[in-house]
Amino acid sequence: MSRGHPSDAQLARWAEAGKGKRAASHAIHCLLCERRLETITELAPRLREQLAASLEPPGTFEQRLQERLSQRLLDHETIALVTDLVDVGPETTRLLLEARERDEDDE
Amino acid sequence: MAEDPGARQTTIGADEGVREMVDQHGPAIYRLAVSIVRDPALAEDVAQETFIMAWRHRDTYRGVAPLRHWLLRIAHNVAVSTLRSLREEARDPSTLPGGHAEVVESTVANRMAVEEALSLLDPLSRSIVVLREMEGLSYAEIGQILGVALPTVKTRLFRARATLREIAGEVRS
Repeated sequence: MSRGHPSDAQLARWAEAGKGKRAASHAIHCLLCERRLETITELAPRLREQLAASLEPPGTFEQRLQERLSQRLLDHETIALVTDLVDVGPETTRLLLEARERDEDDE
Repeated sequence: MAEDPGARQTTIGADEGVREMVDQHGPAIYRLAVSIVRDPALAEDVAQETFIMAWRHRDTYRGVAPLRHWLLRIAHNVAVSTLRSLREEARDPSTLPGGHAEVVESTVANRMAVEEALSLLDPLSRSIVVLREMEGLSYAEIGQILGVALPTVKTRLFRARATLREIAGEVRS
């Protein structure tokens, strides 16, 4: 490598062990060295696949999320509606609705 | 009591709007969330809160950045906040997400190596890796979503990738 630019070994040493911070500081601001660092640290396709697999949501995630969100939105709308009709605060409405649900469960 | 058609209409509209957001961005939100909280159930909770917050504050989305970036930013904030609450509740590191032995035990060898490598990274570095490697975002976009400076994005990414390569080396093709 020409003068001023760190060698591949220096860049790798910084990426892997945090040694040679001057090389890193140069690389972060030098487009050429930044690209070299990208190549040096590039993830192999297999590793990338495994990474993706480890972060993938469970198969039922979207359906479960949709159901939970629908329920939350419905609760929100119910509270807003009752708050308007009965002219009480949202917390009071929430308590009233919870009390009613408890009564229904007891029956 | 007679049903208020207006309120019902609002619910249906909200439901459809959120449904569309989940269809388009749900998995990306989950990936970022699970990379931070390291627990699938918690990541689902984070995703849920993200979409609820997005829906409630939809008026504040100005449309300058893509919707997905806005959602990712909310998800990041919710996930970090969740992690912080957990840490305050349980000072014992073994009770934190990521310490669940059963999650690791149920995975194959390669998956374990990747999990181990991810667990060695801090939450910010994991977020950066996910946004770059999985979502394909630019350094500038990542910086905007996570609210960190460009050099920080690059530094964390390169070091995180080196850690992943080193710890999960046997996964390399």
